[in-house]
Amino acid sequence: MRTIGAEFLKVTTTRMWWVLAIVLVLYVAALAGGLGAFFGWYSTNPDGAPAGQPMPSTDALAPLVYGFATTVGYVFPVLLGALAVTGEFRHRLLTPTFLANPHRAGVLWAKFGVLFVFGALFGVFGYVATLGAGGGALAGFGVDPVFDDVDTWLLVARGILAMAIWAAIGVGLGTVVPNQVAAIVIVIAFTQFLEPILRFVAALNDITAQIAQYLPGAASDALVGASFYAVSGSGMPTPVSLEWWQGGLVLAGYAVLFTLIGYATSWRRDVT
Amino acid sequence: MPKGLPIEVRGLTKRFGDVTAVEQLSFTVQPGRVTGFLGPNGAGKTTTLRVLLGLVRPTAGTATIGGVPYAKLERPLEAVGASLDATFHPGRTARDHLKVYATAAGIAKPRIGEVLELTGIQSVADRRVGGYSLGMRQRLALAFTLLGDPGVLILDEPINGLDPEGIRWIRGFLQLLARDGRTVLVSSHLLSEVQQSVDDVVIISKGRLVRTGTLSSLELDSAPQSIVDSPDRDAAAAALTAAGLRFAPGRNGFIVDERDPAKVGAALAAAGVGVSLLHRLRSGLEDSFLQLVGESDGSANGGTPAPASEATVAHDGPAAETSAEAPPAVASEPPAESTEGKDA
Repeated sequence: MRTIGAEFLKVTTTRMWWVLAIVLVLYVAALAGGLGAFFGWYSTNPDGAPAGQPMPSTDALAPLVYGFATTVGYVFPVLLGALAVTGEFRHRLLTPTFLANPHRAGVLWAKFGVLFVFGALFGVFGYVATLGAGGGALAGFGVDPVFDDVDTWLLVARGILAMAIWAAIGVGLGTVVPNQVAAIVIVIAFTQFLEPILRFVAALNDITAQIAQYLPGAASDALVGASFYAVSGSGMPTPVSLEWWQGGLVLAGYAVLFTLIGYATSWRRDVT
Repeated sequence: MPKGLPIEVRGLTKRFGDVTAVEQLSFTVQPGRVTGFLGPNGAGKTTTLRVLLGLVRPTAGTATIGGVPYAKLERPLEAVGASLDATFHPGRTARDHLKVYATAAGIAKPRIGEVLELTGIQSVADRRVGGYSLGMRQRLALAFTLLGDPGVLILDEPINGLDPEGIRWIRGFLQLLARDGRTVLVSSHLLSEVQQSVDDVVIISKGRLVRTGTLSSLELDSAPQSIVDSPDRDAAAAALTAAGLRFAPGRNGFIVDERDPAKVGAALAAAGVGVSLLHRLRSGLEDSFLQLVGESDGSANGGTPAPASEATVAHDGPAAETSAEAPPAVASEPPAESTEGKDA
């Protein structure tokens, strides 16, 4: 319990968490607002659409726009989680940490749990931003923002859960790659370039498409139940997707697996 | 009153790959005394302390505090206070830094204000550590060690980077802690740095123990000579010769091959020669430390302590005389040392 309190303070006593939270909110709000406005305008002006480009139906619009909080914003909780661990290595803070509590596994799982909570908090911020900006934009063009639909709120709940798991994945990743710069580069490169390309290419073939649904981003989209790829990939065969609970389990599996590997490697190493 | 516990290191060996940092090291540190843990950079001091604190796994041997390994201590920060390297998160304030670890160790919040005051950094406690000077960081590191009001203090190079006022302060502080019955272990690569504050010494070199005992036993070994002067030097020389003492003339008197100044004084008194100066030569302490630890920069004196007498005579003069009476002033610390890194 004390260790959890200490790990909580470690996050709140530096500026990183709210800097990332602000960037997350601005980013997904701009995206949800902008695309919400674009799709809203298009749905009321079908003639203005680019020829031959199928656009999402009005029903699918709102979940897609709201889901940006996770489908686009998930990189922020990953970064927060990874930085929470790599910062300990970089600033050589494992020394006082392990002096205060020599039970290293307990410290790591406390961090895992605390970052899970901060990931959920990021999720709340993210969905407030997309519901506000995206819902506002849709409503502005006369599209129903479906705030009264329970499905909307289930999507929000699953999205917040996904954000929480992503932060825990960041913790695992940070222990596997304790070098802070390397960890940041890997997070950005994988989430922004490598995985999108993999998912796109894998969708071209039935067998690889089966494998690709287990990629963390695909599992996350399955959990949330909204994917930008499902829309932007139109024209392509629709990518196969896990059930939402399967996606959640796969995603949580990544978090636990990375953390176990990191514990067995860097976390148990001599602190010199 | 916090309980001082003995520190015991038994047959400790630590290898990093094929580099042996510490080999078959054994020593004991007693409560109620300040013990200097000395050796040149790279001798294995920090490795030994990290093993003792459960941060590094030993290849062989044990290191215990009150008979228990650090990781098995019930409430570690309240038993042992340790500062290894003055590193902090630059974006966190000193107060928050202490709050994090006090929370982890279950130490009550009011104690944070107390240790900030004890170490004299309460006025900067709410500033981020990134802007701290090395001296302020050292004080914060010490504040961390005092959080649990522990009976055992383990400090790695605590004097590094402190200004003269800070050095004077910490010397007195260490003595005060030991007088309370606490165990105080202080590492340094310079004997002169801790010479005035330590009671015992544990000297290691290249990972092996070379000497352990009281500081005065080291002084006796290192100073087999006395210095004597008289208004009548010829009569004094005759008296020394008559007493069968070997001596050589120095700038401020005769350097006599006799470790007990009382015998020298008795020889002159027996001959009715006046004495204007009489004391044990103390300049040999640092020399003998450097000799013990091997091929350090000051090892020009030769392999065994015996030839040191010639060497001392040869460069007898201001250096020998000043350090003979007064221990080196705090301000005379070579400034270059303060920025040196620590051994691995």
